[in-house]
Amino acid sequence: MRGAVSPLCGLRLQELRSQHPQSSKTPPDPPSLLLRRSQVGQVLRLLLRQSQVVAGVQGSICLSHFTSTITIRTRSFREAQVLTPRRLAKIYWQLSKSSLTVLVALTAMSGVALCPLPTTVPVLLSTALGTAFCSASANAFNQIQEVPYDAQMARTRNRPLVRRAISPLHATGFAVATGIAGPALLWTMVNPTTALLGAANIALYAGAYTYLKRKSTVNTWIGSVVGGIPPLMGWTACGGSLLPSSSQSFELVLPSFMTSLSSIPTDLALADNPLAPLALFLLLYSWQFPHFNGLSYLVRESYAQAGYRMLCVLDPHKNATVALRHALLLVPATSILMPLSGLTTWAFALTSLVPHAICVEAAYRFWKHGGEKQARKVFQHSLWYLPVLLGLMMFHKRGMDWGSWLSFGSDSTEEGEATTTPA
Amino acid sequence: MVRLPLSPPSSFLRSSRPGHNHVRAFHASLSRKHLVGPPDPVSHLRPVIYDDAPPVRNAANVRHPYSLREFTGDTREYQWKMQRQELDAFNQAFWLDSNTRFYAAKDAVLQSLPEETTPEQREAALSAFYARWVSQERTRQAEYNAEWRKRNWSTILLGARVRYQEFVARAMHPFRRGG
Repeated sequence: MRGAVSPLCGLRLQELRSQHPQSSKTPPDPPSLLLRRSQVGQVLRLLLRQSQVVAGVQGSICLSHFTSTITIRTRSFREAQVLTPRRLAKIYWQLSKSSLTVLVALTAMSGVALCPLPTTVPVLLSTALGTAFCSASANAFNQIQEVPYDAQMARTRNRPLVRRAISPLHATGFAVATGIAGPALLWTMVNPTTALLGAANIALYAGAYTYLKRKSTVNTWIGSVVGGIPPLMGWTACGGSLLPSSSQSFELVLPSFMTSLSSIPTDLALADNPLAPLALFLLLYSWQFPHFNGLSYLVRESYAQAGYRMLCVLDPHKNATVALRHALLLVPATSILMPLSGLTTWAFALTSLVPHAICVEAAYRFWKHGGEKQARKVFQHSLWYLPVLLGLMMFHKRGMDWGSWLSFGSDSTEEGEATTTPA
Repeated sequence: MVRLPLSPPSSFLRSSRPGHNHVRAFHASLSRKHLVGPPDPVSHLRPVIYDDAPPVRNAANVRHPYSLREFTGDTREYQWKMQRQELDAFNQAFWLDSNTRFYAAKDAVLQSLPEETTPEQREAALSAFYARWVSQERTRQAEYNAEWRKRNWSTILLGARVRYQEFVARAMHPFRRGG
C-alpha cells in the first residue's frame, strides 16, 4: 500500500512506516517529508492530538519548499489557550501587576484615612477603585512596551504578553479602557484634582518612566514620584489641598514642652495644611529608593543583559549611596514633619525611631560593604517598614482617642449612658 | 525522527483533546489556535506559529515571478500578518546575537579570574563587567529600542485598523456569508 495518502494532510504514511519499523533504537536519518508550509501547523496539531501529550513530542521535520529548506523542531509546541472569561480575568489581573495595584490602592486609601477632613464611604471606595484602574492601565501600557525585555529577565518571564497568552492589540484595548475608566470614575465620583493626578500618574509611568528606563538612570527618580502620588490622590479626594494658599494660614504643631499652652489641642483641622500631604509624599517617595536599589542590585545581571540603564549596573556605589541618603531623609520627613504638620501626635516621633534605626543601619552596611547579602537585607527591611510606619501613623493619628475605643477613661461612661437611655 | 501513529486515518478526524468544546459565553476573544513554543534557550523569546498566517506561495497561484495571484484577500490584513511575523523575526535575530555575545563575554571574564578568588571578588569582577557591557552596547541597544518601539506601535495600530475594518464590514452586511 505504498502511496496511501491521509485525507487530512497528504502524508505518505505507509512509506514512512516501512522506513521506520517499531524499534527502540533511534533511526539514523530523519525522514524528509514534502510538506507545504501551511501544513506545518496541521501536522503539529495532528501529532499533538494523537500523542495525547502536550509536551515532549520529539522530532524534526525537514520541509523542502521549492529551493529553500527549513527545519522545525517540534519540541513542546502548545496551542494557545482558549480565552474563557475566567482565564481572561486572570490575564487582566496579571497585566495590571496585581500586587502592585493592590498596594497602590492601599496607599491611596491610607491618604484618605489620614486626612482630617470628613469623607464618605462612596468617596473612599471610588478613590480606591479609580486608583486601581489608573494603576492597571499604567502597568498594562508598560508591559506592552517591554515584551522582549521582560523575556530576557527571569523575574518577568511569565507575564501574559511574554508568554503569548494574549495579543498586544487586546492588551492595548485593556490598557486604554482602564486608562479612561480610572480618571473618569475619579472625575465623576470624587473630584477633578484627583482625576488629573491619576491621569498624570499613568502618563508618568507608562510614558516617561518606561522610556527613560532604557535611556538614563534618572528613571528611578521619576518612578519614585509615581509611587508618591497615590497618597496625594487620597488626600485630595477628601477635599484637602496640596499647595499653600495665601488666604489660608496654618500653624505648626509644636511638642507640649515647647508650647506654653496647658493642654494639647486635639483639633483635627490643624492637619489641613500643605505640610501633611508633603510629608506623605516624602514618605512614599524616599521609601522607593532603599526598596528598589536593594532589589535591583540583586538582579543587576538581568538588567545588564536586557540593556536597561540602572544605577545598580552602571554605578553600584552610587546606588548604595542613594539608598542610604533617602533612608536618612526618611527620618526627618516622617518623625519630625508629620507631628509638626498635625497629622500625628508627637509620640509618633519616638515610636517611629525603632524602625528608622533598623533600616538606616541596614542601608549604612549596604553602603559600606556593597554586597548582595547587604542588599537583600535592605530590600527585606523595606518590605515591612512601609506597612509598619503607616500603621504607627494610624495609631498616633491626632484626634484618635484610643482610650474611648477600648472603654478606658471618662468617655466610656458617657457612651454607656448614651446607649442605655433609650432602654 | 517522526513517529507517526498506526491508528487508521478516520481517527484523525476525531479530536481527542479534552475540553475542546468550550462553550464561550461571549466572544471577547476569538479562539486562536496559534502554536506557542518554549522560550529559546539563548534569546529567551517564544516562537509562535500563527494560525492565520498569510497564504503561502504554491504552484497553483504562482505562474511567474511577477504574478499577483498569491495575494488573495485584503491587502491591509496581509500586511499586518506579515508585519507580525517580521517583528518576531527581528526580535529573535537581535536577542540571539546580543545574548550569545553576552554569555560568551561573561564566560571569558569568569575564566580569566585566577583560581583563588573569593565570592566577593568574583561578584566585584562581574559588576565591573556588567557596567562595561551596558556602556559598550549603548548605541546598538538605542537603535534597537527605537526600531522596536516604532514597529510595535505600528503593528498594533495596523491590527486595530484591520479589526475595525472587519467589524464595519460585518456591521454593514450582517447576513453575508463569511468568505
